[in-house]
Amino acid sequence: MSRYLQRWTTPRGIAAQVAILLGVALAIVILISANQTQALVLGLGAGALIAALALSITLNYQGSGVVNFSVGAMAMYASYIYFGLRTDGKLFLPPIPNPLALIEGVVHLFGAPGFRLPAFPAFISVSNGGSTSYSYGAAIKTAAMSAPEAMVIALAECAVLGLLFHLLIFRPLRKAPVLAKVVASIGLFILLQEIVVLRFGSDAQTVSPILPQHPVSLPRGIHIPSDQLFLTAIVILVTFLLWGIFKYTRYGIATRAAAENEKGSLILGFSPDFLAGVNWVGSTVLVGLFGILIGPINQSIDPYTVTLLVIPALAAALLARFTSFSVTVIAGLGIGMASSWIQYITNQSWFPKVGGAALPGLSDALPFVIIIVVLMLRGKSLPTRGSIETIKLPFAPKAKRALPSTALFTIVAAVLLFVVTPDWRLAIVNATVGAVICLSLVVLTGYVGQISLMQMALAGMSGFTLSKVADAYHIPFPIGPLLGAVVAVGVGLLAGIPALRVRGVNLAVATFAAAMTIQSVVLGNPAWSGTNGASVAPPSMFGVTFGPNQPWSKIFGGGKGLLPNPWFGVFCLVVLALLILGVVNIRRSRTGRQMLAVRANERAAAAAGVSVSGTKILAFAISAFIAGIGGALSGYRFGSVTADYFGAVPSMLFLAFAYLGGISSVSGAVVGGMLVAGGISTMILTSWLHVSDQYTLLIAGTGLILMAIFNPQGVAGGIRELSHSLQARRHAKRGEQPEVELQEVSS
Amino acid sequence: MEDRKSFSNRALRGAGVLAAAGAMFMATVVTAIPAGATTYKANTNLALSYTGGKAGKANAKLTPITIGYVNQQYGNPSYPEATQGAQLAVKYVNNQLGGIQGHPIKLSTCYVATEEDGQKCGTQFLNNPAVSLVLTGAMSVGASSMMSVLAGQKPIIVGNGLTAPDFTTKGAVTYTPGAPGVVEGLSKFVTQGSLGTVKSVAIVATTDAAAETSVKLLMTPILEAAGIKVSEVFVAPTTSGAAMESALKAAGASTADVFIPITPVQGCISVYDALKSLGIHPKVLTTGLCYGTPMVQALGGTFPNGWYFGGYGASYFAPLVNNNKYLSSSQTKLYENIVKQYNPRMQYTGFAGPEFGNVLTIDSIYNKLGPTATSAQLATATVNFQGPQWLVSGTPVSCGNISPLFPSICVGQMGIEQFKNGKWVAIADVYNNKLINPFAK
Repeated sequence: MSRYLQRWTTPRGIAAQVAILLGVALAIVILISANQTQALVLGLGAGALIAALALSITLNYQGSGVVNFSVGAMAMYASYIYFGLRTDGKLFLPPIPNPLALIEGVVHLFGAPGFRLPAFPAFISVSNGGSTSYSYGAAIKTAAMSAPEAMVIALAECAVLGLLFHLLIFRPLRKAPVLAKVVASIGLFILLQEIVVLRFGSDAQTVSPILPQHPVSLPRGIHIPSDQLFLTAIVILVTFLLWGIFKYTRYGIATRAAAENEKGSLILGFSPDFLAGVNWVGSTVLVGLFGILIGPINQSIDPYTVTLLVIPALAAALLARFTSFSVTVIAGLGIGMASSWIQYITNQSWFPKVGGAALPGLSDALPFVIIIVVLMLRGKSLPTRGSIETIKLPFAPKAKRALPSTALFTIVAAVLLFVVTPDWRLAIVNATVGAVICLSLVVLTGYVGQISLMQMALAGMSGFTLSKVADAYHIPFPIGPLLGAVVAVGVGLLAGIPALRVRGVNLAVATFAAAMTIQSVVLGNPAWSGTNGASVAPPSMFGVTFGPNQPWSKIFGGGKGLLPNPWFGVFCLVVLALLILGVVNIRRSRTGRQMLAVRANERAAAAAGVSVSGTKILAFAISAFIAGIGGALSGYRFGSVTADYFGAVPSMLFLAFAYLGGISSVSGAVVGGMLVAGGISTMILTSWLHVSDQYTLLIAGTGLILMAIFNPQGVAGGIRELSHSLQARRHAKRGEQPEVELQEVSS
Repeated sequence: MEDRKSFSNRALRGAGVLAAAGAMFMATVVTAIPAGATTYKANTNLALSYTGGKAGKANAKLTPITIGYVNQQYGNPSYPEATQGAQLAVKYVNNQLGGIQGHPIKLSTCYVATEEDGQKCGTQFLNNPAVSLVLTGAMSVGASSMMSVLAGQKPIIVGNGLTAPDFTTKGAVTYTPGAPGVVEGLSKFVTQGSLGTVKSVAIVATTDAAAETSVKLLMTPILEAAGIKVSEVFVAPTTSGAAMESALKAAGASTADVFIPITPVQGCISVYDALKSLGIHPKVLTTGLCYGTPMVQALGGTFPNGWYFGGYGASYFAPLVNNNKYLSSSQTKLYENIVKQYNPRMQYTGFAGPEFGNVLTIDSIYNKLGPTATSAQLATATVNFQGPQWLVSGTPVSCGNISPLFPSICVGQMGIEQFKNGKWVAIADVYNNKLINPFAK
């Protein structure tokens, strides 16, 4: 008893008491007002969707240790399987590279352009399809298949997909570091979304109701749609089922044991691998079921809406420490209801306004606030699932001959800017700006192991600041971009506070939510950043303007050159070179060694006298500064900045590109820059390989998964390893001792 | 002055997506025209008189006239139907209207899905000497970076303006009233008392830049100036249906005299279902986006009963009459026939129809100037074009004089129709000669 009393009298206990009291007071206030209660109740449906996804995340984590960022995409994918079957009686297939295309290509080369070989089918017909009639020009189709039939087939495919996800992606990554798993799940996210876009387009599709839809009257004049009630009931039912399985069956107990320590499940006679496989199948079927049920409640399905619900779902799962199903569901329902209530109260006349309108994005910020509070209060007690063995993060090499190689790279690229066609020149500029943002991840993720999914949001803070200070205060170049980068540092430090308590996937979740919050509350706030973005004047110094659209004269031959202005590219290259040299110096310095020590083992680093918190804060600041410079360059490049360009999803994509390039080296950042949208890889794909633009993200998603599994060092790391092995072979031939580079021992 | 400038900029930026409303309004309704190809030849003569071309095929041996064409073809959102409309028109002009003084028209196509693409397209068109004029399909991304390259360098005809650069870029023109016209027109419709005494209006709009700013800076000020209490709620374009129900409640849709949803068509469907689920029946006034094909499909072949729709001023669903010198029903019949002849499976709703009209207008402008027209000549001609614009009702086209805030807009009237008990009713449009002039002081 006294122990309980002691716990409640600690500062944290007092804080908890205050929070509970405030919560009760708020609940009373809400319940007194029928309108507020109505707003709260109307959030039940959205809460049920979040809870359903969060349940699947928890199940995945329990079973395999993977925090699945693609859970929303999986739900969306399942809803399209169901839609295809129900509407057309067809099962859609992902685009598969056709080896026969190579033969076609050769035949075409020899002058038979009409030659065609069979392609893989895009759809398999399962039933004959319904009839189609036309009304006001719209094709009205009758259902090709009954809802239960379509659902059973769709869920069967989900089961197969779950098994494939496990066997092909996450099983090979069982011993991989958290970063690789995060990246693979991001790859899966992109892949599933792009498959659906390719097969069905990005427009929303209308789906017919499954659950009854009519208003249900509650006391005090409160109404709620019946389908929301049904969905909530199903979510609660599934929760009880999961609870029962995990509490009372041997399989469930073994899974829980594996979640604590995989050796535990071995003792119970279950292979952790088997458990992971079963749980992947279970969670994919579960998320598929809810994806199918959610579609009609949303009135339509599209590749984006449910996919992005992963953020509040992650918040709910985190609140439940990725363990308790009941807390997960309560948290999910709570987030949905609270968001609805926030939306209501922010539109009331008494609520503070910005420019006469409700403050935007407050309900989007809710998951972030929850995550921050949870991480601050119980960050260190959050589980980091124990696996049998882990392998280390990608090697972070110390660059040799950095100055000459950077200078050479810059000069070669600068010369190319003047000799290549305008399309390639633009690609080099895009790659350079992309490389700057990837470089920000090298410091933070590559050197210190902190997974950040908010780099583009930080870049956006800088870009908008640059626009603001130049437009409103006429602050010139280069003070403007530097001020922008300083603002990015401030925001980066604030958003990075959770890093002092947690690392790994929990930090990834926190930064992802932070990116969403920055996008909604700050970048998307018309009072601060305009509504359709803000313009950015071209950079100018000593009377010389060198923006991308500035006319320029050819050095040789005279006359005006074609746009974009290559001197803008040179400017970007010089900035990148300076930042590369800075990062290389950090890696070589004592600070760099401390960063790697923190990355390898925080406890050991602390024991060796390294300030873990200080090192992390420094890394967040440097990384945010570099991202901020990237944001400013991006603003100059387009002549404008927009909130969507700097959102949460672009931040996620940039982590993916940085990882693909090689996240722990500056050369990796350069390669990562080449891979970004509109960069060198896009040009190669479209100009040389004649692959349509629409396949680039599909290829990127596939590449991410493959890279996470087969080459965590990234493209740059792979090239480096290859060159080392060639060097070693040469040395061996000559009978010399190869040069050995020291690597960290563990992660 | 600074405040005024800032207001203007924000208003301009917000002008966006709703332009789609009218465009979709126009294009969607075309489908309802009764079939009947008997007047096809007569209609082709009508097209020839519009373009000033000669009947017959263009001469394939002559140098093609290249038009830069850019569209948001993939991604979310995307408008592939605009390209289909433009391509259909090019086929028609080359096969039956004699091209441009015998020269075939060729589209130099560039698609955008990102800002990077926009800059790339702008650079390609600027650097391509064969391209003297650029036509856009519809772009909610990439327009800013593309137009910053082309501004003042080559003339741009904005097919379906969605974002601020469409309405403000130097050298850009758009031959529809656009979002500002539709949004301000809806507000004026309410304040003129056409819906009875209105004391309160509830608005639910998406947070895309255009809709949000249009509501905040164009719609709400007009309503509030008329003493109407306005409640606005903004939702993400990807808002789930359940969240939409909550938004309706937050906006007070159940108690307001008029409820105005300003969302793309999927949001409209969510609104329709949310109203049904909540069991509330407000007076709904919205844009033509809300009766796009997905809405008809969602409702099993009909439109939301009782809703009022604002668009470019003409609904071909209404009984066709030739009582307006700026819009002939024969034009719509011709469009339908051409679709049937060249590509019956194409998606000719949405932005396809207006884009078809834009290519015909380009043909007409080129025919007057000749195939060697320069960018400078075309820039002058596009600004001086007086219409009438093919498939657009309203006043004569008059660029730069419609709205000082939106200099690119060249047409300044909009209209309202209602779908009631299975029939379209002209409320204030071209059919009853009650078109609304949103820009009138």
